[in-house]
Amino acid sequence: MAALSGKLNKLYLGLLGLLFFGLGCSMLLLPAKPFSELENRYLAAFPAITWEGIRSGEFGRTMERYAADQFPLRDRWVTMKAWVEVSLNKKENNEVYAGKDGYLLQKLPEPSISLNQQMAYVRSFAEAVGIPVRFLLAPNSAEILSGKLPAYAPVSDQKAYIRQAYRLLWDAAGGVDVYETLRAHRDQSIYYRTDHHWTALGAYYAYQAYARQADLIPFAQDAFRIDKVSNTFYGTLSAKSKFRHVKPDEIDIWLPKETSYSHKVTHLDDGTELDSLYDWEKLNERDQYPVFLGGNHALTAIETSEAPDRTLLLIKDSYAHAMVPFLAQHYNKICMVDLRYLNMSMKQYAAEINADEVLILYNAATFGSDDQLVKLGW
Amino acid sequence: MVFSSLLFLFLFLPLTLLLYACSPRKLKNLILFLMSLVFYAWGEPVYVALMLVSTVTDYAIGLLLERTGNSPGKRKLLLIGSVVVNLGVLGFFKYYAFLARSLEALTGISLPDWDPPLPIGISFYTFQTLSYTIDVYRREVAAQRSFIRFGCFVALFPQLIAGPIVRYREIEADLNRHRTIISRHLVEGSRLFLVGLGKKVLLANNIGALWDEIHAMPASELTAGTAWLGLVAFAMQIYFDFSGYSDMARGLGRMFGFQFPINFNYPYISQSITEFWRRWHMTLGSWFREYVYIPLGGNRVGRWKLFRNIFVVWLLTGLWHGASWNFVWWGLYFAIVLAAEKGFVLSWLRRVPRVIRHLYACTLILLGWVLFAVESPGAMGDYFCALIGLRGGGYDVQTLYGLTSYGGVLVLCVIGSLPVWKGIAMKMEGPVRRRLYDGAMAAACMAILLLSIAYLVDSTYNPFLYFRF
Repeated sequence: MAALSGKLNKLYLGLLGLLFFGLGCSMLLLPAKPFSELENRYLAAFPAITWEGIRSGEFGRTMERYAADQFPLRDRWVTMKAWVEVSLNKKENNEVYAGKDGYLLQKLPEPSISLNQQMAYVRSFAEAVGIPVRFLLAPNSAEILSGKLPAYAPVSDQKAYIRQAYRLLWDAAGGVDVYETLRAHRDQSIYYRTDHHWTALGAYYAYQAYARQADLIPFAQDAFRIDKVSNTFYGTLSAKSKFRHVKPDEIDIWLPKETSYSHKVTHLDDGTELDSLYDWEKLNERDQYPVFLGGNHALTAIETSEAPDRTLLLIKDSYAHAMVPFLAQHYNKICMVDLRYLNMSMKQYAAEINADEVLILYNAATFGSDDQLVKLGW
Repeated sequence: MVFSSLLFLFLFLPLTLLLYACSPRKLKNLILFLMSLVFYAWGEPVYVALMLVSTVTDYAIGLLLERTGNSPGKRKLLLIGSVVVNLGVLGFFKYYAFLARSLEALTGISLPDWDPPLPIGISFYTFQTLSYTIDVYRREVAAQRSFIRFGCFVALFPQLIAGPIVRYREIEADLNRHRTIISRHLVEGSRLFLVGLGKKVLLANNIGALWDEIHAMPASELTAGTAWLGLVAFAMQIYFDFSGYSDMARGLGRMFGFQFPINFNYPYISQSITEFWRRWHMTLGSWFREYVYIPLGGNRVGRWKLFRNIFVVWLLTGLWHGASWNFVWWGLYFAIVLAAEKGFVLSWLRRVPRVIRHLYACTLILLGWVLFAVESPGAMGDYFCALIGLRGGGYDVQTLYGLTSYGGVLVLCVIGSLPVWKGIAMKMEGPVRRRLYDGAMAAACMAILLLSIAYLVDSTYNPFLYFRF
């Protein structure tokens, strides 16, 4: 090959060298970040240099993880990749679809635990506890808003799954069917675009369905004042997929107009308290959904003055948080339980708190793989 | 360690280049050898010893062969010793479990239930050292006196774990001369390396995801459209994965002053299977030709012996790719096709239009990949049935989704498998065009590097987002 033209190639080599040595040095010399807010996990630390570690290959593996986790500008690179994927017309990244109208939709996983098994746990609890139990299985956005999925994307049949779940209740518990009502309102903003949860509006419609089942009179929409508390919410789906071309979500909260209820929220696991149903500080964090009740805790007690004297035991996943502001007006005490963090018998607990009713609330995608329901049988 | 990892790209490689550049002439090969050992030991701390044993053995045998120049008996013994050690090591670690299982299935004799792990690169370095001893035996090369240089030949990290299979005579000159880092080599080497990196990270990994999805579905439920789409995806994945690695190996070698042989020459433009095997994994083909085919007589024998030779070589080629029966079928499949081609097909092909030849070759290549990619015989049969549409109809939603999602990547893959750039490069003579070409190459390489980094970082992106809760 003829001699390569000097300057251009020297420039090229210079740039390459800068990149390789520069990134390499930053990786090594910059102080290691211990935790990634974006990924919500601890990042690998520099491995200890031990003979055993080297011999077993553990040192090598940890070094690889370290190089990846502590790579400079990690977040930017991941966003670049998402951008390339979008340019290539890929409609999916990291199990999240980029749907129409700016909606990100979770790719619904196959349930890993048999529905028969899960419902058996629910039934056994409902039969043993002695007070009315209701069961609410919420459909996910990819199901209700299936029209917004990218063309030809495979759809999973959550409707049949949910129907089957309710059938398997066998009258041991009351099934709260929110599917139809959500489907009827699917042109409204009932789910967030960038997050896998439903909005306050979606939770409201579910609340109406619940009220019918529970013989309560639901408060009408105009009994609430709707406050927009955020318009910069980028939720779990955008964090997972890194699709940046979608607009952020707005978070609305519904505050009752008429009466001035006062609420006290106590997290019984770490003792923290809130004097309202909303943890405003969470709006300053990346994941703003925990503004509802302060996020996931093992045990939370919500006391509402001025509400009827009834106690509700709420066994749930995070979908419930958006619904509690509506339920709180009907029960002066709601005890919210997250089975992941608790190892106690729910029957006993219900007796302890003198619960009048129980509501089991999950979203269908989570329910399919939640291995904690076995605790209902204790 | 693998080339397509952030650790290699930004720590190991710059460090090695720096050490190599700064070290005095006498130590350069030592540095390379030691760093190569570190590279290998990173993934396999224990099996580096095995590789060293193989290296020491063949180094010693090479010297002894030279010293016993006049006793054919002793020389033959030495050669057999080398073959036994190398093939024995390879046979045990790679094929023991396979052979034991097959023997048990066929005859009921059960052997001890060992399952030795497969040391990385063993298929490559045993073949390399074997080629050395055979060449010394044949008096075609002089034995290498310096252990360090010999160690470099065996262990050089660019080609150690995934080829190409370098015969000693091909780098003897480079090993023995004094090499320094010169910018021309860096430019050529980095271009090759980055192209290879892009092939692996941007093309192979990407289109491989489509194959993974389709492969995960039960083969008996695939429509013809999806089955063919999956097959094309696999064909692209394996080509870009393997040729990408070979390019990276050649590029790295170039940077240190070595000229490694080319391993892939646009195999998918072949017009016959005979041509395909002269373009795919070329170093393996030439190794078998040199050390098995030709000693058996090559094609200078009668028809039946010719077929026998072809069958032996392709059986071994298939087996080399993996210790499993489907690889054997794959090899034998090509043996049959090649025998037929030599017999009558090639002369028939000469009379048909070029398009038909391409179609013929591509179809046979793709069908071969079914044998390669689908391991269980049941699923294999199902897949073939799916290909001819015996299960589902023409295509379905799955096919369309795959096409729309991966269409962009597929187009890039097809373009990448054609010698388009080579054609353009040929026309770039003269100073102005040369500068244009250099500029375009530089820009392209930088872009590939940046995108590859993005994909590599993303593949470790692992958010733990209370997602299921």
